[in-house]
Amino acid sequence: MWQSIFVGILVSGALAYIVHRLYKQFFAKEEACEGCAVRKTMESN
Amino acid sequence: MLTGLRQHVGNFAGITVEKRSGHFSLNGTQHELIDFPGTYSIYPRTRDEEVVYNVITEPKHEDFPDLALVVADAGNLERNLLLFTQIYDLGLPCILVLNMWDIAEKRGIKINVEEIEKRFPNVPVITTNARVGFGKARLLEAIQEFSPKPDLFKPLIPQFSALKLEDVKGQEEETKLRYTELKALLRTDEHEHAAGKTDVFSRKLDKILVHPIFGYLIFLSILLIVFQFIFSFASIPMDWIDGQFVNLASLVSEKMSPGMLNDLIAQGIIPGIGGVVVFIPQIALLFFFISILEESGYLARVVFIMDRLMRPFGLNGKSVVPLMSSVACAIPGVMAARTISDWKERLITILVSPLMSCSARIPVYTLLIALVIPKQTVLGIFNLQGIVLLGLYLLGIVMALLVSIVLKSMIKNREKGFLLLELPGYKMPRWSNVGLNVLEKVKIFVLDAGKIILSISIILWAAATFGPGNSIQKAEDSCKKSSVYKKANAEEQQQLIAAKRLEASYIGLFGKGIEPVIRPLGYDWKIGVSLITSFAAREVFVGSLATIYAVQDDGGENKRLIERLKAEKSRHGKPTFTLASGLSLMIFYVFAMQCMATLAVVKRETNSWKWPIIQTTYMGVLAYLGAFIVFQLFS
Repeated sequence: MWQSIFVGILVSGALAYIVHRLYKQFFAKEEACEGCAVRKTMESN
Repeated sequence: MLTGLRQHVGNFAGITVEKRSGHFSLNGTQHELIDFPGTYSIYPRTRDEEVVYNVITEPKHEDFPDLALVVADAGNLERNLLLFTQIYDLGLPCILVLNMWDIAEKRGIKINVEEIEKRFPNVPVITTNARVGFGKARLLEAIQEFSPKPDLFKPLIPQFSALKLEDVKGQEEETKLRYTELKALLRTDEHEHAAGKTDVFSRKLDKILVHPIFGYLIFLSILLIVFQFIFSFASIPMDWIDGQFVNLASLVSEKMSPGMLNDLIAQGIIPGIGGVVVFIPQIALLFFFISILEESGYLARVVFIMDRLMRPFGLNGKSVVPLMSSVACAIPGVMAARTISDWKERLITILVSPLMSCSARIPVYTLLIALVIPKQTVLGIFNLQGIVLLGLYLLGIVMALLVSIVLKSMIKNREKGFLLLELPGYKMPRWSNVGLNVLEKVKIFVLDAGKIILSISIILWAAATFGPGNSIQKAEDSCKKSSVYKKANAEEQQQLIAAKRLEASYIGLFGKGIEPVIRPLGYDWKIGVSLITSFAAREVFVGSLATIYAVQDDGGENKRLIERLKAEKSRHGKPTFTLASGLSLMIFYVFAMQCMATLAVVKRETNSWKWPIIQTTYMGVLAYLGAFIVFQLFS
């Protein structure tokens, strides 16, 4: 029984991690701003 | 040197394309040191150089410095001092650091530091050799004791304030004026004469290494030797690591009480992670060689000779640095494209960079080569497997060039690009730098990719163990009733049940769903599942195969992945991994855009979804068609 619970936690954790990574890579706001100047110029192009 | 920042620096321009910062403490006071992309002038010509202009000309900018450390290459002082005089004339408190002092001395370049100090009386001038930490103490002392002396301020161009970016003519005139002043100050003609006498070795070597014919032959030979080494030397540690993971899986399944967690660890996590960790020796070896080539100054020559090769294909010479970086990983490669001033050339470079074979492809390539290419010696000395590996790398390069031609004709270009590259002098590689670079690359591979691989292995195991409703139980029952099962021995019976359970699981159902699409390429549904999961990152392919086959072999003894794959048979009893299907998979991985992180960076760099979607589509079509043609030709 305890093994099933542990496996359940691990599988949900793995799923949550993948979703988190995908969100962070594509949608999350940038943390560092070093590329901002670059991006702004690209936008104006 | 000051912060101990473990940041990769290259022996050619274009490595740092965004600001990096670190901290250091001086007598209890904490200082932030910001490293900006290298530039020769404050007037930017490329995206990365704009970062410098924006900060230096805007006192309200959050990164506007209290003190500017202008680091100039002592071996090429005239060109490097231009930026210094501009920053100085803007009235910023400065310290001038003359780095690579040792190389300047070796070349016989005599720099009169006192004269420079006399011309700029409120600027301390410090000579350093950052590679070995020479001058660090004097630099720290100068920072600590620095006090601005505005009364001693003697601008090169009085009343100078940075011109507007659009005023190109004004910038040109100002630059000419500065060079005239600097020539007089440094007496450059004497330096060049002195350098000419002592730098004979570098020049002689360059005559051969950048020769229009020998240059390419030498580069090709070096590549061939590197790939031969990778295949020959890496196999010993790889076999050892592989064996350890097999033992670990056996140990866990024996010692842990039987149950779901035991299965997850022994069949999901350990094979998944082991399948990837095993490739560390090859990745370490590849970066060991690349670092040596870069540190010695040879890679800058490669950029130079490749520029000549790329022009007929319509690519900017500066595209070479991003493309070469992409051999390690497409992410820094795509970012390095910031050094290209023309937007369309930059875009094409970004779009073709992922076609260069990155380090994540090594596990996939080497597994497939070991599986379907025989260990044969060609022409007496060459290992056939090494030649095939080199061929896959070259195929990526050729395809990148061909796609560039197509894109060039589709997207009209306004400007003509050029390559301005300072060829560094040849020097012995610094082994600590080589080691640091190898360590950094292995760390990224293990930790960054490792977390994704671990998560996907866990999810795959769950999807391969469970199925909708009681489908798995039903599959097992029907298997037991079949005549094949009744005729089989105990071990075969267990394997038959495991295979049927896998087919009835979520992953089996999903794999069967996509099988019609991938069958023309020679793949079965298990390869299809591994292909889909490796859309997150290419190296996941190997971990996924390892997990799926470990679950399938439930009950059988723990075996190495390659043995499992060699024994795999299709439903018609023929081997699944043949020369045709193996080559088809290799071609698929050369062309397919299977890296979420690269897609995210392309989206960030182009600030739109359009280009990453176009990139994924064209690479996907190339991969599918390429794999289809190869499979049909060889089967």
